[in-house]
Amino acid sequence: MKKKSSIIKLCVIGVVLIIGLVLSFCPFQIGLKDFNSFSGNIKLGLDLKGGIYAEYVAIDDDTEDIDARMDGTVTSIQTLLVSKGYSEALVMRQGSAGIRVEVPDVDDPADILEILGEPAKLEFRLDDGTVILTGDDVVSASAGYYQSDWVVSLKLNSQGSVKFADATSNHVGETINTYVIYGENNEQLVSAATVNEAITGGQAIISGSFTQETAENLANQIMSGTFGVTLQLQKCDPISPTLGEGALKYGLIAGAIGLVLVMLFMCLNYRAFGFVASMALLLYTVMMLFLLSVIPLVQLTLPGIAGILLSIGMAIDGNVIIYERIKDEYANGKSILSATHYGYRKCVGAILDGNITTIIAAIILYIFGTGSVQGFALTLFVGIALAMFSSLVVTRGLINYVVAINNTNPKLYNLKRGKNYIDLSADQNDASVQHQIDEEQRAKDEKKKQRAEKKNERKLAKGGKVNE
Amino acid sequence: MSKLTNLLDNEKKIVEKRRLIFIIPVCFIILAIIMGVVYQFTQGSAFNLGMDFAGGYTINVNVGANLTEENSNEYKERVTNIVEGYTDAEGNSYNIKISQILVSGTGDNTALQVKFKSVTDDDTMEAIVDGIVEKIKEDVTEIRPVVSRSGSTVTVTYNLPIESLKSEITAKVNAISGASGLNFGEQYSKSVTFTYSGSLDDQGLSSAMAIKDTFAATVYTNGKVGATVSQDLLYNALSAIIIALVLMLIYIAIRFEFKSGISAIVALVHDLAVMFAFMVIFHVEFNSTFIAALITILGYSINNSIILFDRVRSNLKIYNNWDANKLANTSIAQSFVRCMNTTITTVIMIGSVAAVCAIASLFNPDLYQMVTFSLPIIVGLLSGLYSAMFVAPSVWVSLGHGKKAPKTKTVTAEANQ
Repeated sequence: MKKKSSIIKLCVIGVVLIIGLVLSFCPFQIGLKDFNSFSGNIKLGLDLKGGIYAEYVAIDDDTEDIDARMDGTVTSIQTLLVSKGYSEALVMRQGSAGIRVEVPDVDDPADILEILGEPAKLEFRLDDGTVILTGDDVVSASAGYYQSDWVVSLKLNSQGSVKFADATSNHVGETINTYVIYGENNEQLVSAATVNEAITGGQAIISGSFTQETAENLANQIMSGTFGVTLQLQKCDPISPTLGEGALKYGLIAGAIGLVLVMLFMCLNYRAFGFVASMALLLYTVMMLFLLSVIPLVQLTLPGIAGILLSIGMAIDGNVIIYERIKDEYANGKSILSATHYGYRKCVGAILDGNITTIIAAIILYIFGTGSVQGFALTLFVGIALAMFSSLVVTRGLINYVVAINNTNPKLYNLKRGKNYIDLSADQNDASVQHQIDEEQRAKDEKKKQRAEKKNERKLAKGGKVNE
Repeated sequence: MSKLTNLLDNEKKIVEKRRLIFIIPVCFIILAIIMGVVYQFTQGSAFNLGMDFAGGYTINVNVGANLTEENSNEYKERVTNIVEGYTDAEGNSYNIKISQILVSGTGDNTALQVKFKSVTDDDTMEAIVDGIVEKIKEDVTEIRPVVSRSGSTVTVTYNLPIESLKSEITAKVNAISGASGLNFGEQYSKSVTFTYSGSLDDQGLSSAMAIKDTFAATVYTNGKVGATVSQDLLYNALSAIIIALVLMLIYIAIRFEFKSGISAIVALVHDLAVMFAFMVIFHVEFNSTFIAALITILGYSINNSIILFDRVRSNLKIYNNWDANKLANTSIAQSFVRCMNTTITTVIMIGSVAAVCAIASLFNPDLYQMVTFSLPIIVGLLSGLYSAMFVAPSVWVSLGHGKKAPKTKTVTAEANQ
C-alpha cells in the first residue's frame, strides 16, 4: 500500500518538475496575453543585454577639493542606481571633470534620465531672496501623498533641521519660495507656501500641483542635486552588449553540460539516491530561476550566471553529505530503512551549521557592501536559503518515497556492509544496533512521557486554583 | 574510491605531519610575494589590475550610419588591430590590450567605444592615445570600394558619385603596377573599370583604390576614465568581509567550540590568501569579478570545515579519552570522501563554465574573461578542500587539547612537534 502511494507521489513530483522546467525556459501565450518564461524575465547586465550610457560634466566654478567631491558624487550616483534596482550599473570618472554612467537593461534613454534626472539644486528662499535652506541639507527626497495631494517630502540632516526650524519660527506669516535650479542659470519656482508655525523635526514638504510622476521626478532631481558637484548631461545613447549575442548561449550550454555531468556523477556514485539528487537539483534550478526573476536587485551578468551554476553545484552538497552518512550507517549494521532515517537525522546539524555560517556572510556583505557586491550577496543568499530547503525538505521527502518502494536491495543504493556485518540482510538491523535504537527510543519515549506528565500536573495545579 | 578510504585509514597519521601541511601554502604565498616583486620591476606593477580597478582610456570612433550590423565586426577588427598593434617610433609595441569595444547610439550617432587600460604613466599615455586617435582617424575615414572582376577587367564601385574625385582616382590607378585602360563610366556613376594583370587580390586592390572622406567619421578621446571599482567600494567590501569573518567565528564558537572557530577561520583566510597568491603568480587580471569570486569562496569553503568539526564534535562525545591527534585523524578519515565529493560536484559545474568559455573564446575573444573568472574559483575550491581536511584540523590540534590524554600518546605528540 505504502509502495503504491510513494510511486504516485514521485510521479506527481515528476510532473510538477516538468511543468516547472517548461515554465522556466519556454515563453507561452494564453489568449492574447504573453507569459514570459522565468529565465526570460530575469534582468540582464551590460555585458549580455547592453543598456545606455550617459556622460555628465561638472560645471562648478568652485574647484576646492574637486577630486574628493567628484569621488563622492560617483559613489552617490552608484548608491542611487542600486537603490533603484540597477545593481550592475557602472559609474566612473571621465577626464578631470566628467562622470560616465552605464546602466544595463534600459531600452529607452528617457528611463535613465528619469532615474538620475537632470540633476537639480534646491533652494528655499524668503521673499527678500535670503536663502534659508539648500539641497545640501537634504538627506533624502521622496514622492509622497499628503492631504490628498502629491508632494515631495524631504528629510533634512541635523544642520538643515536647525536652520529650517529657526527660519520658520522667525518668519511666521511670511512666504517661503521653493526654487529648483537646473544647470547654471535656469531656475524655476515650484511652490510658494506661507509659514503658519515653526516646523521642527527635520521634515519638510514641497507642495504645488504635482502629479505622481512629476513628484517622483522632482524627488529624483533633488537627490541628484545633493551630489557634491553640479552635473550637466552631455550625452546619452544606447550601448550594445559588450559580450555580444552569443555569450548568453554559451553560458546556457555550460550550465547544461555541467548539470548533466553532475547528475551522472551522482547517479554513478549513489545510484537511486543519485536519481533523487538529480530530481532535487532540477527542482532547485526551477525555484532559483523563479526567485531571480521576481527579486528586484538581480541583474545577471555572465559572471552572475556562472555564480548561479556554482550555487547549483553547491546545492548538491547537502545531498552528498546525507548519502555518505547513510552509507556509514548501513555499513555499521543498520537496515536500509533505519540507515536512511538516522543518516538523515545525524546530518541535519552539520547542514544547518554550514549554511547558517554562509548566510551570515551573505547578510553582512549585503548590509555593508556597496554596488555589485550587494547584488552578488543577494544572489548568494537566495542560493543558500534554497539549497537548505532543497536538502532538508525536498531531498528528505524524495528519499523516503524511494526507500519505501524498495528497501531490500542495497545494490540499488550502492550501499555496502562493513566488515563485521557482511552477512546481515539489507532490511535488518544488527542485534546490538537494534538494541541501541530501542534504548534510544525508550529514552525518548520516557522523556516525552515525563514532559507530558509535568504539563498535566501544571495544568491540574492551575485548573485547581481556578476551581477553588 | 575504496582505495582512497584505505589510504585514509583511521591509523593514517595526518595532523602529525602538520609542519609539512603548513609549509606548502606558506611556500605558495612566499612564491607569490617573490613573483610580485619580479612583476613590480618587469611589468611595472605587482598586480595585473584590470580596467575596473585601474581605469584607462576611451576612444570614440563615430562612423555614423556607415556602421551597420553586418560590418560592425570588420570595423571592430580594424580598430583593434590599430590599437593593439600601436608602436613607438622605434617599432616597439606598447602591448595595449583592449578591454572592451561596444557600439553606442543609433543612426548618425552610431559609434564604437574602445576601452583599454593604461600601460604607462599619464603623460606618456596621453601622447599614445593621441597617436592612436590619429591613426584610427586615418583608417576609418578611408572609403574602401567594392572590387569585382571578370577576366582581366576590374570594376571598382564606390559608395558615392566619383565625379569630383576623378583626378585622385586616376593617380591611384597609375600608381598600381599592372593596371591600365582606366575608364570612367557615365556621368554621376559610382564605378570605374580598368584592365589589371598584377598580383593583388580584391582586398589589396580595394585598399589601393581607397579614397579619403574626412566627413566619414569623427574620432576623439574623452581623456582618462576612472576605475569603476571605487576605493569606497573596495574598502566597504573589505570591512564587510572582516565583519563577516568575526561573526562566523562567533557562530562556530557557540555551536562547536572556540578552537574550532579559530581553526575554521584560519582555513578560510588561508583559502582567500591562496586565491590572491594564484592571481599574483600567474599575473591574472584583477577585475570586479574577482571580488565576486572571493565572496563565493568565503561562503562556500567554510562548509567543508564545518563537516569536519561536526565529526570532531560527535567523536569528542563518544571517545572522550582519545587524544587530539587521534580525534582529528579519525574525523578527517570519516569526512574525507564526502568533502571530496562535494568539491568534485562544484568543480564540475564551474569547470564546465571554464571549458565551454575557453573553447568559445576562440570565436568570441571577449568570453575569455569568463575563464579568468572561473580559474580563481576553481583554485579556491581545491584550496578549500586542502584547508578543511589538513590545515583546519592541524590548527585545531596545535591549539592544544583540553582533555586529558593517555600518557604514551602525549609523548609521541610532543615528540612530533
